[in-house]
Amino acid sequence: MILLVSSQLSCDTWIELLPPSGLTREEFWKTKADVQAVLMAAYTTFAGLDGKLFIMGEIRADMIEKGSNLTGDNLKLYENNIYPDNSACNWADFYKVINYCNEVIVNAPKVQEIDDTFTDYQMQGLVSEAYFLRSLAYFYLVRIYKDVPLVLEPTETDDSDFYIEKQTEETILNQIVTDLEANRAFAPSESFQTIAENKGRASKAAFDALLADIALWKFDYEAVIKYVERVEMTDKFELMPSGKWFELFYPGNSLEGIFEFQFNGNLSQNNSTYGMTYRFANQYIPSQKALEMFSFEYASELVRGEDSSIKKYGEDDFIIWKYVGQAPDGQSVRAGSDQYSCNWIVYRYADLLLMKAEAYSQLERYNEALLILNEIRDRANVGPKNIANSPVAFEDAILEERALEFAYEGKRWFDLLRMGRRNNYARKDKLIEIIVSNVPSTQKRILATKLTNPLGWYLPIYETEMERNKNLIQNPYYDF
Amino acid sequence: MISGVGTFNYKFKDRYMAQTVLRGDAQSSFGQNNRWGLFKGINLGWRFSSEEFLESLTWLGESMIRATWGVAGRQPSDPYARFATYQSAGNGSYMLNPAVAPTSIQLNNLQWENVTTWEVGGELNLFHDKVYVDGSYYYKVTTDLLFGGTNESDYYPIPYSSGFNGLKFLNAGEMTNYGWEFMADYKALRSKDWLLSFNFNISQNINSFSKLPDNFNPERSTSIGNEQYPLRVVEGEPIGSFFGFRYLGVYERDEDAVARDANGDVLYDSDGIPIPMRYTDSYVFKGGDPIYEDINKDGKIDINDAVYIGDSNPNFIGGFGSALKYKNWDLSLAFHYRLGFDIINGIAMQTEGMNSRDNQSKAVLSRWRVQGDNYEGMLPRAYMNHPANNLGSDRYVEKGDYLRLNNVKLSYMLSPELCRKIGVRKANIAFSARKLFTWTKYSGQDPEISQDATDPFWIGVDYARTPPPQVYTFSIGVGF
Repeated sequence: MILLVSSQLSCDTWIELLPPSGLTREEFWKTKADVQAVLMAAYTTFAGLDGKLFIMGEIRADMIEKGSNLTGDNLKLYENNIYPDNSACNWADFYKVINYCNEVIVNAPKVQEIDDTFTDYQMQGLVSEAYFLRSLAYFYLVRIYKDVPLVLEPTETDDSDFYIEKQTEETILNQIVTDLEANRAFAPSESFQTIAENKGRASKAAFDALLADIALWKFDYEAVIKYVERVEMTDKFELMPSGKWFELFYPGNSLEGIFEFQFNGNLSQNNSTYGMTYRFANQYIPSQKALEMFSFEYASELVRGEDSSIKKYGEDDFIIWKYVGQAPDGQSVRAGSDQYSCNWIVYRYADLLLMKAEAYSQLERYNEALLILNEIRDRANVGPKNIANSPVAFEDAILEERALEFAYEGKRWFDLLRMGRRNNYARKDKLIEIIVSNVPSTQKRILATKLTNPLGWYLPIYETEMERNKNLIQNPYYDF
Repeated sequence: MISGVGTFNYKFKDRYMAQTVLRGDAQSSFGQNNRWGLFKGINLGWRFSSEEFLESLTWLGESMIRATWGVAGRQPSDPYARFATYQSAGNGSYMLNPAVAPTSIQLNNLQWENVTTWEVGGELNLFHDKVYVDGSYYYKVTTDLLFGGTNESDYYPIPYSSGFNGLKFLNAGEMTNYGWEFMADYKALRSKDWLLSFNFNISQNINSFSKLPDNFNPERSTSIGNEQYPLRVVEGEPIGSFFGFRYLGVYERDEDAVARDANGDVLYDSDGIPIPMRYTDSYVFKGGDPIYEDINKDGKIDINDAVYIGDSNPNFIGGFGSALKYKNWDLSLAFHYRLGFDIINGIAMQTEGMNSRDNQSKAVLSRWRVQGDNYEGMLPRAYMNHPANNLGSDRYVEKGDYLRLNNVKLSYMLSPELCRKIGVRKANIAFSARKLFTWTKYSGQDPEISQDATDPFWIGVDYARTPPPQVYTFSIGVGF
């Protein structure tokens, strides 16, 4: 009989092993600089979505046409050949921003307990910016997908609930309006040292602009007027003069800018819009409708037209000029570190004024609406308009004016969608007509019939996301 | 890591053997709560051939029966995985402010994966070591299965709405493996100059998830589409089953593509016109399109018509071979076989689909071209971007059974006299060839497909990325 008991002690490190790179959650969240750094991650990640915001705001609308290099999932989006397996439908990046914002909102008050130098004022300011970005992200999501999961807690550990259900558009809009209203008072008011920071971070005016935009989406016209007036009363913004209209884009951060995602080639903070629209990109080119609106041949838009919004290289050879040009001369192309530096303008003063005009006209306050519309036209050096006193005539005129003013700024699709939704889808045929204009002729009729279901105006939830989250219900339009 | 081991061995009369092991491991990969793992095992053996009452059996050599039970643990490959690390995000900055964000989720619930194994077996030595057989049956249960990995592509996927792509690791679910192994060795000839032996082995393993992780979606790729097989995992059933459509050939003419009821009679609409066969709601089948069996007879090919079409798990895996030795010559053969399994010929799927611009195989020369075409081995028509001419169906499922001559080796050992003459201690010359012949009815490159046992959705698809290399080796070994 053999009895053997052995014992062995191999002890590398009894103490905790910490990762060689980065800080762990326990090491992080110690100072106000940590809070600000995560907030900045939310900004830079959102800014990195500029290409996506361009696509979502333009690709299904009527201002662009496909170039020969537009292929794959984005081409399918353009042609409205949309299935849940289209990776352009992935919302991951939006939720990344939302998670960073949630981190700031939850952790900033905890940091304040540790960091004595972190004042209430500073803490609430940073938190308000996080609320702004989160609300903006949800507002985009609601306009792209309609109903989406409402995530308000950061995903910190594997104890978090990852399998969150969708909430209705209404619930989400109520949530973000409440958040924005509650935090507007703490938002910075042009208090940073540089113009770039004042335009590139959420200010009170940015809050009001977003609130006005949401109110317009909800057709709450009185509220739109209220929010826009709050911005007007600051007296800090004005329409750029006609001769300086292009300064909105180059160098950017103009007096008209309210909220712009900042890009700066010198800091390798590069945008996507240059690469998507420059001379040889051949992906998104001005549509025939755009040519009729802007080109010397068809239109007399001198401020916003050819050589400003678009640029002609030859017969049937046009590009979008806003992100590529350096001057409204159709000649000077952005170069060097300026190349990828055009900001993504989320809100500018002209946008707010036209929102207000839209609200006035829907309230049948036609004179006030017309005054604004003609103010915008006057700045663009085009003659005033006379419009019949009807909501539809004004709706069309304002839509057209917005198309001229904000071409390729990611607004057009959402403007059209708003029109299609208004008054219980009264004018949905007009929207459908525009959508199917991009569709190959064999599919046009089938699709036009299908799109009478407004759910088809929104994107499906990406297939992989459906597979990962059993609690999600696909947009019924795509569920077959 | 800290570890303590205790072993206890007991042997009685060289016949009865018992061995126990107890082992406690603490790993800093895990949080304080889950750090210790307790592992144990018992081995029992009975060398019955040494029993007195069997001594009269002279043909019985050393033989025993054994039984083991053991619990072992597995830890994550990344010791830092449980920490949420905060690192530079996006461009690293927004304007001049640094941007930092969490890059992973803190894992509070990470713990040891436990594998419990039961095994019974026996070995027999007969006729003075001429015949040796060994057989065993095992049953293995893995609990708190460790999903995930160090690379992002291996993470356990969670919904994107969390702001993350996945968890580095997750303990969840339960996997069961059971099977048996049998091997035999027969030394047919043993003499001074000659040695001839044969060996044979066979095994069967069945692998299933007895419990899936919470919130696990057991279905993938349900949106179907060309070159896609809907994936499904069922608790308790072996993984590796194929689901898909039944392919019944090609519609000869447009008018053949009609819906039929269970009796095979054509269905008519209220106007007396035959109802055409459709693919989901998006396409109407025409002549030259593939016929998929409409399992539920609803006139529509969709996910509800996907059925079990095969199994990628072999019923039997094994090998056999022989060794022949004559004086200084040595010749060995090794065969490998797998029986009773199916393969999806992924290469055929990609090169016979005729719905993209990709290169196609010669097989597409015999395809449907005009109404009424019908001949043996005819493929469906070529049709760019066809939505359904290449769905995941049994068209590409083939029997994978094969027998392969895995290794042939012939070697010659130089005689000691010759070695002395040329001044070396020993020398041999050998020639070997690997994967020389494969006997199979499978038409693709290589029926030997490796299984990923931790992927619940694993199915055996042969994309023949690298064809099996035939390796010829000529070697000279010299010892000084």
